[in-house]
Amino acid sequence: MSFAEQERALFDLLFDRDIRENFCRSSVAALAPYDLSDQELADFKEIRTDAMELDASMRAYLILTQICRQLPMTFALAASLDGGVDVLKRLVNVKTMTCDPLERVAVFGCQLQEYLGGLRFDVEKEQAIITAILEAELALVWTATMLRRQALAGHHFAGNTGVMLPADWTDQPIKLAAYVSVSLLPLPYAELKSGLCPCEDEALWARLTKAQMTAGARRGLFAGEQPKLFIARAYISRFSRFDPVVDYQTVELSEGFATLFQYINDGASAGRILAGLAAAGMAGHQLAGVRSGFEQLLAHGMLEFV
Amino acid sequence: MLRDMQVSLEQLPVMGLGASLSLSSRPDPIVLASRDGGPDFVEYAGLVEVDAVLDEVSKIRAAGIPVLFHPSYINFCGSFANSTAWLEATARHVEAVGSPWFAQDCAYCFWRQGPGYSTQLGYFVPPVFSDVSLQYAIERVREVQAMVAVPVVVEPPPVTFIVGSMPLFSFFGELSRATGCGILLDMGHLVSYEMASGRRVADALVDLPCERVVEVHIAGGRLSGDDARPVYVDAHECNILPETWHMFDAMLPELSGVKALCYECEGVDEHTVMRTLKKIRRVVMDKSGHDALLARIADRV
Repeated sequence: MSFAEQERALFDLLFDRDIRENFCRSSVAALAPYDLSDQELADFKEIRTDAMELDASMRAYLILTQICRQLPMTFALAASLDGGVDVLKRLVNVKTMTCDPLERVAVFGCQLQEYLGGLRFDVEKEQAIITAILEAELALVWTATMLRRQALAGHHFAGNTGVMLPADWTDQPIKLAAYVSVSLLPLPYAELKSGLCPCEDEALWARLTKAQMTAGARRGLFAGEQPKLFIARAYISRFSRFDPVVDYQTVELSEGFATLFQYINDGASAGRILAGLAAAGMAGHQLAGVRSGFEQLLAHGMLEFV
Repeated sequence: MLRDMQVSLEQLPVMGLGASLSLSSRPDPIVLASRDGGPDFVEYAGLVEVDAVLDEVSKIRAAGIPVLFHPSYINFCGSFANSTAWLEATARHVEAVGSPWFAQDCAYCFWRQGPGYSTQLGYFVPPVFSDVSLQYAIERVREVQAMVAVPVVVEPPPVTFIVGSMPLFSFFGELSRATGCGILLDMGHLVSYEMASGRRVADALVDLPCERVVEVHIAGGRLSGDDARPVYVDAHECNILPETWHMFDAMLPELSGVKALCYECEGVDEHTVMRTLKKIRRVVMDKSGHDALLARIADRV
């Protein structure tokens, strides 16, 4: 028996739906697994169970509003599936709430990813598209989490300054920079975002709880696929020992650029990669496009010189 | 130390009637305070680091409007201790903005995973109202008092349900006596307690050291659940409920040491803020027996 056990029970009642439902049926049975004295158990007899249910749902609503801001497209898609809104609500659970708060959105997202992976879709390609979007947003979350953790540990980062490329930039070996995510999206990001999210991220969860995209509208959005390689670099836009703010620099390139990333960390230079593509017969205008892609990635700090 | 703290509470400035606002959003604090019948001070929540708000707060202070810092990241109860780094930043923040006291809801803002804002739990988790929990609250208050140079003031939080059987005023009365801290009473939070517990706060009024109540909050809310047993939900953007006005009427005559009243009006339009401030002033003029407060309020009537 201990106050710590009371705190554990209180936390579980707020965030564990099963325990809360059991408590509403029988407080004695629900609290039996906790090491509580008679007096400590008696403290829980004061609880109005209807009010506790309301409290839990209000908390979950506010927490989902926050998480939705970081996974907006994922939320819009998940909410559009049968029972999707309820699934999202259920993922505000003890696993999500007991992890490091820095990782909360990622832990939530991983659970959602697991859930979506187990679903059957009428259109198989649709599952792949939804998963790709979730993975892209999760990648943004993870790079921000890692960067924020470093900032909280006291590491200082330069702001988001552009990179001046030297004249011989194509000759220097290149590698992927830190805090960079590379994802394949079915459409350009802006088109995807405006198609899926009918309002600002701050108000999106409130909107989704009332109205969700239909399956038909969802499939219509993805019908005209224009795959894009979405590359994002997280950076600290406001440094703080307590609340560092992370933003993203992004670049979108054609889908074909994805295969070139296998060469980037091999010590190759952009020039060598371009030479290899030319030798393989790539057309001049395509080579110009690839060169431009490398230039953009270097200028925006997604690639860096070794 | 307790005697010193009591003297210190008595010496706090009489701030009058203020408004709790979101910095950098409407209604503009400076414009509001400059109006006839506007607030005497501005209360704000905000990030722990003062650098994040100093520009905005400095403008308000430069206009001759004092401020009170009232955040939501300190654990004033429970077994999860506050971080030294966060307490040091709090001390710097309070000093930099000239907040004459430091007040916050007595609740959990974070759990065992480490310091953070109450939003990470959705909102405050109220304390367990028991003797053991009280001892932890005393420890948490003293932890903050050791670091912050101004008097610490604790506020009963909003509650939807109750754990523990100790009456609210008994818990906070004992917390104040043991630590010397001041008390802030939010009228809506008292209504929430009555609805959640089925008890009347006045039944334990004798346990409350009323002279240590230095601040009163009044704010909008809504009722949820069924009509027979409603639940009060804090909602500052809504109108102040009749139940809250009744609580204000009933409590104000008991509170001889109030230095500040604050209308928490984040999200409320300017016209409603001004109309409500006028109504609050009328109630104070009618119900309060505190001469210094009445004089301050009368200045803006």
